[in-house]
Amino acid sequence: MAVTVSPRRRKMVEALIGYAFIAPTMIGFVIFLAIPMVIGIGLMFYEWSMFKPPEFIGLENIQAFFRDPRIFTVYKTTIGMALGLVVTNLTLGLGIALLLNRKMPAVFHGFFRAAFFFPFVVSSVVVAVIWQFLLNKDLGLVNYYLGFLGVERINWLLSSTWSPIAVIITDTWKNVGFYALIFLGGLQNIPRDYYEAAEVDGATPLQKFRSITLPLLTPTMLFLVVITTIGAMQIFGQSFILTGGGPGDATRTIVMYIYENGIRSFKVGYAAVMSVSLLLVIIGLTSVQFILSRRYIHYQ
Amino acid sequence: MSNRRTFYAVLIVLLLTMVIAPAAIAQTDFSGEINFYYLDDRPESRTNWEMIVAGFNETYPNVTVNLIGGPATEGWDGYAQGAARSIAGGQPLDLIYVAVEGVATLVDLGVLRSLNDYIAADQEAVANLMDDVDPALVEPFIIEGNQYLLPHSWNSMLMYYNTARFDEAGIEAPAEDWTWEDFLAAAQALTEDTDGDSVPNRYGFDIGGGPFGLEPWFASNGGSFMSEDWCTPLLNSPEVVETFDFLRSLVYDYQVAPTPGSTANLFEQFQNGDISMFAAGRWMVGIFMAADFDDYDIAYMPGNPDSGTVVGVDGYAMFNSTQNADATWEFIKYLTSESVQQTLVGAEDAPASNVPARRSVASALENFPPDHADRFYGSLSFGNGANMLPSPKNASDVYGALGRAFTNIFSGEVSVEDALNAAQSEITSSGCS
Repeated sequence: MAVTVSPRRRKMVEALIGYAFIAPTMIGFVIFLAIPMVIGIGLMFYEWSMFKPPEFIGLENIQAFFRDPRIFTVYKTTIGMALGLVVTNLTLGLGIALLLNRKMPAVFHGFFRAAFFFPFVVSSVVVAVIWQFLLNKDLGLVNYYLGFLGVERINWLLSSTWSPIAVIITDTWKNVGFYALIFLGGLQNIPRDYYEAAEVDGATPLQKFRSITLPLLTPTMLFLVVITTIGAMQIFGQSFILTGGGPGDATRTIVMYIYENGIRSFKVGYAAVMSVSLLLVIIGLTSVQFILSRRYIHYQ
Repeated sequence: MSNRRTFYAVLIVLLLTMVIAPAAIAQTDFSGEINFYYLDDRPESRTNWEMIVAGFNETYPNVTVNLIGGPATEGWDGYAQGAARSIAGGQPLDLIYVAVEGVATLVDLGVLRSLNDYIAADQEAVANLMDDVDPALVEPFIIEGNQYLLPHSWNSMLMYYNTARFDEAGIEAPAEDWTWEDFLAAAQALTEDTDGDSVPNRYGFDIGGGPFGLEPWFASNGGSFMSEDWCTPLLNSPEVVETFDFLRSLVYDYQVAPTPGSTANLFEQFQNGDISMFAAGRWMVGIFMAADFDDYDIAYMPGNPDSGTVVGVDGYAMFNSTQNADATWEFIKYLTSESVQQTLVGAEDAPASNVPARRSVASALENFPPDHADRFYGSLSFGNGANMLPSPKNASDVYGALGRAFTNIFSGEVSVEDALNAAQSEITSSGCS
């Protein structure tokens, strides 16, 4: 005899199963993100050194934030480097993906993909230490080879002009393989029919790239621009190890500054203000990207 | 007769038992665990501490000392903050080995326990140490009437020079009272462009950096980067500006020093003569002993006009969070004992390290290299004398601002005055309570 289940009950059971599936993620989100975030927002109004009870100080931390002579420089550095990282990672990532998408023996496909992806799985600290040697002004390999081209020794790590570029180079070297892989996925999703139709119409490779590849890669690009911007605004390891944030504040990022205030100087309340400011900046930048995407993104 | 002999023998045994047994019980009376936070979490550093703990356990076998290494990469101030963060994170710590740079910060955070009660209750043992230590090495550990540390070892900065390079260049060893001008002349004579590309390959001097590396230069110019009470930063004082002008000229005008931070391996470059002079404390002697290198000597820092240097002292402090205070105090006494301090002096299996705080032990340094090893202790009273490294409670902020000014100045893109004015304006907190 068949058991009849009312549609309402059935719906409820389905909902419960759904909730059970998302529960592990939601529990993790609430414990490790939502609750700390709420506490962080609350801490903006307190002075707290971790060892004495928090003391309510109203808006003092926020006022201090707007009076801090270094905050503008640090944000300028962070946004400048983030912009550089978005441009280099996406441009080179796309270039590498286009090369990898060409016809070649399978063994080369595997080799090049692994070679480009390999730095991505190496720890940021190891990458920074390696590049510290490579970029040494007097003994580094980079200046050694540039010397053959007649380029004078560049003070990569100690010049305020070159040190942000050194950080961008290092980070790009590490991450570009990941971007290439995502772009490669995007390229392989574009139907061959479009290219064949264009070839029938006598389109040149450049025309095919401009009119087919690029427009149909825009969803992938949006995804990469958003995650790169969010990631680059939070860059820490490369600057911390490679240049220590110097010279001066030339490579000091906002996350480094938060770390120095909150973790090293125990100004937890002030660090909370900076963290919330970073959250707002990232929300702002991401919103702009999504608004622009309505105009420039093409889906198949 | 035989009965009387037996009686005396039994009596002596009883008396000895009465005297020795309580002492033996007292010695092993302590038990439990001590969580000891020490600098430098590399395996070779841990081995040294394990040997010391083994010595302690010979007397106190029931005490287990857990060694917890802190990173040595962020300076003493960063290391001390790391210990504080461990406590904040729930790690129970009893004891810390820490230098002056981190003490005021830890006291300000309220994590250190005053040792006054223990010192008062154990006067004889403490007097044995204090009578043997220069009072200047204890002073920074007393804050508002509370003593927080017992001293272990110290260092001052002296000029190491490669004697073979000096002979090769035909210049005399530095005189005791040499000046900045003499130093510059020596550095110029020792700088060489061996491949003819107009860029030196062998330099007279390496500047180094950091508060401990810079303060001797300020001191030898009659200044400091902090006021005497460590409350107010003096980063743009005339003495500091003039000193930075001089140091900057070594790189950009005279080209006798590489840009700070660009030296790949100072110790190797010093040994092979590519760098002929650099300033450091006694910790270098152990490194050179291990490398079997002895073509070097030390000189007092050059003066302008009088020499000056800086002193940094370290010791042992108890945390407020300790669950085993009495055993921790016994361990502190052991750590500051003559036998442990002797390990700093140097031996074949234990290369030399810092200068021991105890004078009686430090006098043995003269039996070790270099030729003028007496200058390690002599620097305390030579010229302008030695001033304790300014270590205010906001040490991280002050050292950070000094470091940023330093990198700005040597980037060659910011003037000395602009860099130092900016650094001075960045410190908004007071160094003292």
